[in-house]
Formats: sequence, C-alpha cells, structure tokens
Amino acid sequence: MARWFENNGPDSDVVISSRVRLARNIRDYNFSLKLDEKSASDMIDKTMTELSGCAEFADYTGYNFKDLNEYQKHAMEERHTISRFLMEQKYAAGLVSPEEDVSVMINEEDHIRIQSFVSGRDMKSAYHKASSADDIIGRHVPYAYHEKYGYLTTCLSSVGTGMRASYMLHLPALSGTGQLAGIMSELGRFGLKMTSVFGEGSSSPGDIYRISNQTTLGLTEQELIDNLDNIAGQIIEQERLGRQQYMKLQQVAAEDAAYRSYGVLRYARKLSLKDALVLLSEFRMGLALGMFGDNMEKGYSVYQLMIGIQPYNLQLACNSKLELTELEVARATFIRNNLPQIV
Amino acid sequence: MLCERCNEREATIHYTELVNGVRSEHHICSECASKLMPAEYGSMFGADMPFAKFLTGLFAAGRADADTADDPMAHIVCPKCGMNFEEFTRVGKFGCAECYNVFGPLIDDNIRRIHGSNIHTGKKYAEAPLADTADETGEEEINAEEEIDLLQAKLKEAVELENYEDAAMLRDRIRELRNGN
Repeated sequence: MARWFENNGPDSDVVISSRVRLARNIRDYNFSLKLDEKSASDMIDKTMTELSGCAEFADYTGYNFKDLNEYQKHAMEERHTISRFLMEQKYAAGLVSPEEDVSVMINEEDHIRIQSFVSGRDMKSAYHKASSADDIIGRHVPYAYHEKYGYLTTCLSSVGTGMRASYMLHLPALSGTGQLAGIMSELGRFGLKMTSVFGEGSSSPGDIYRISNQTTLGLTEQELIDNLDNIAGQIIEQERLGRQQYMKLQQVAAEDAAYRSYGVLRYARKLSLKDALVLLSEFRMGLALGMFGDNMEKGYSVYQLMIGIQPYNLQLACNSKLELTELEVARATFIRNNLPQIV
Repeated sequence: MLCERCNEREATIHYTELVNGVRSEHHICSECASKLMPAEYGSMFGADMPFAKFLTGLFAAGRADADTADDPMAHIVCPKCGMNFEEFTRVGKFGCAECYNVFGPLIDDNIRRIHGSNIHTGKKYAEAPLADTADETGEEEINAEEEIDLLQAKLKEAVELENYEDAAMLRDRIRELRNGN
C-alpha cells in the first residue's frame, strides 16, 4: 500500500502535507516529568493492550522500543511516524497505520500523541483522522481533562485543545529571494510559528518549512485551523507569485537550474544529503512550474525521495551500517533508481 | 469540598504546607487565594512579566531573594505528584493532572497572556459512560449551565478586548442555551 508521502494532494505545487498532532494524558498517571520508569512501563503496557484490542486499529502495526534497534527508530523519525522526543525515550511504544498516515505514540512528552498526515493542503481531513483516532482512544483510556482548561498537557503551551496543526510547505522562491525572514518574524502576531524541516537555524536545504499554530487554548480546533489555513494560504500565494516572477524575468536561468539539477540527480555517483536536498528542491520547483510536462507535475511526489535519502532510511534499505562515503554512494543510487524518467 | 476560608465556594486550590517540619493540608477557592496573597500576586504575576521568562526559569531566579521561610507560595505542593511551586516555576511544566488545580489558578494571567484566553472552548471530552448512567437529561442541564458559565467568562473577555464580533456571537449562543433550558 502506498504511504501518504508517495502521493500528491491538493495545492501540491507548494504544500507537501497537512499534519495534526493531538496531545493527551491519562488521568491516573503522573505526567512524563513525574513518571518513574516503572509507572511509565506500566502505562505503556496497559495502554498498548487496550489499543491493540480495538477493532479500529486492527490493521495498524504495533511497535515497542524493546524490540527496535537504533536504526529502526531513527528511520521512523525520518519518516515522521515518531517524533524526535519519542525516539530519544528509553521506554515507548505505539501504533502506525498501514499508509503511515496515522500514528499513535505512547510515552511522548505527553502520555499519548496522536498524529495524522494528509498529502497536500487538506487540514480538514487531517484533523478528522486524528480526531477519530482520539475518540476511539478516549473511550478506552480515561483522559486527563479539565472543564476549564480542556485537555491537560505537560507543557502549558499545548493545554486546551492539545492540538498542533501544521502545513509542510516547499518555499524555494520566498526562501531564495530572502523574503522568508520577514514573513517568519511576523507570524508570531497570529499565534503561528515557522521552522525549517531539514537543517537548523536559517539554513534549510530543500527549502521545506513547517508552519504551525502556537496557541492551543481559547479557540476551537476549527478556529485554530482556519487561522492557520488563512495565513498559510497567503504564503502559498506569495510563493506562487515569486515563482511566476522568476519564470517571467529569468526563464532560461530557471529552466537551466531545474534541468541541471535533474542531470546531476540522474547521473551523480555520490551525493551528500545537503546537496541532494538542494537539487531535489530545484527539480521539484521545475516540476511544479510544468517544465517537465503536466503529467509529471501531478503524478510524482519528490518528497518521497527527500525522505528516502535520509541516512537511516538508506541504511535500513541496504540492511547495513554505512560509512559516510558509502552512504553518499547509496544515496546517489537510490535517487537514480527512483527518479522518474523525463521525456 | 468547600473553601476552608469562606465556606461558600468550592475549593479549587489544594496544597500541603510544610512549616518547620509540620505538615498541614489546605483547601481554598481561587478568590480567597487571591485575597490571601495579594502582594505575591501583584509582584509575581505582574502585567509586565513576559511568560517566556516564566518558562525558562528566569522567573524563579527573580524570586531568589524572597525569604522562602516566610513566602507562602513556596509551601504550595501538589498532593498527587509532589511538585512544588518553586520547581513548577523553574521547569515550567505540570507534573500531573492535579497540578492544574493546584497551580492553574495562580497563573491564570500568564495562561491568558500566552494563549490569549484561559478557557477551553474546543472539543469536549466525555469519558465512556458506564452501563448504569445517571439520568441523561440531568446531565445535559449541568453541561448547559457549565457551558453558559464558560461562555459568559469568554464574553466578558471579548468585551474587554473590544472584540465585539466575537462578543455578539457569544451573547447569541448564551441566549440559545438559556432558551433551550
């Protein structure tokens, strides 16, 4: 079955995915900060037993950190099925749907984190999936819920809805023209935040950014999503305008960059992660601008390559530990084998 | 449980006081709490205290010169997980669900400052009902009343913020609920 990131969704020229995360805690256990190892194990086991018995999760794959090696955990983190926080936990478990679009993490910063992904811009579906899983889980384990404060979380920054909704956006034009810094600094006023997905700080190879809500209390889930969608919509329009300008003013340079990138991706024999992400970003923008034909634009998700070339997914695919050069060779081979042919 | 000071309102703050090794339990309502500790409220949760400071623990450092033995806030301990006020302000995280009852009312202003509100209006959670549930209509009335209380608080806030569009919506919703009863 195709995983969510292997397909494109609405507005996929700019939007890679819509994601919703819900933070929930179980009433009778202390929160992570005050949860000793024994209670954590007990909480994980009981919750897993409850959830594994749900008919709704029958086709989900269960995992427990006791049975996973470091490579498997890192690879899951690279594919976003588990969070970095969970990956670094000693004890943890969870469930993942067959398409890897819904995942339940147990013993995260909050006892339970429910996460759903949808390709492209479709936060309504993403919320619906997460909320449905939440309804099921809430019937089997008693949540920590407060009439005034809503869903109680370890951090005050998530209390209330416990919801973090985010779009993953491909913003090469805004990023390349230096407009992003200004946009990022303005977002706080709307209770939103933007971060880079690959890389840290201002450097963002691949030009992939995540925009999410920061406030979680006082507004309904729908209001929070509408607010995020409204602002994201404006950023998407700005990005499209930027790309059109680029094509209008520098069409030859734009086409040259996209085709050159394709050429290197197609023929390189070794690639660093950073170089590969930069090239894939150029190629992705070329696809979105229709340089390689309409069918290609709609049919091919470049993001699946961006995930596939991450170090732990490559090592897992090769089933062996790779040194840096071997990793770069494996990366070039993976891209060669999975890059679509252009006419 | 009623507040031990006014004996009228429901006690929402439950704390254990440790003074010179003597332990005593206290149950007070948030209104009495604010009267009890006006000075602390004023200086510690003042309007110019940004929440970021609170979260990073600078807030706690700012109180380092306070005489802990005489500081009533220092004695507040969550009876369930043992989190005390000092630790809570240092790490900026809650230790358990009960912590929200213990520390929540003390930092209401801060909650409002980071989220723009201190009242949840989103998805509601109802635990799976047991087979022999109580009379359903009774339960609905309670929920409607509680919702009216919450909406009224939100309405007041909307008016204060001069957010009249929201205020009008809230007013209509309250009216609907009242008529429903």
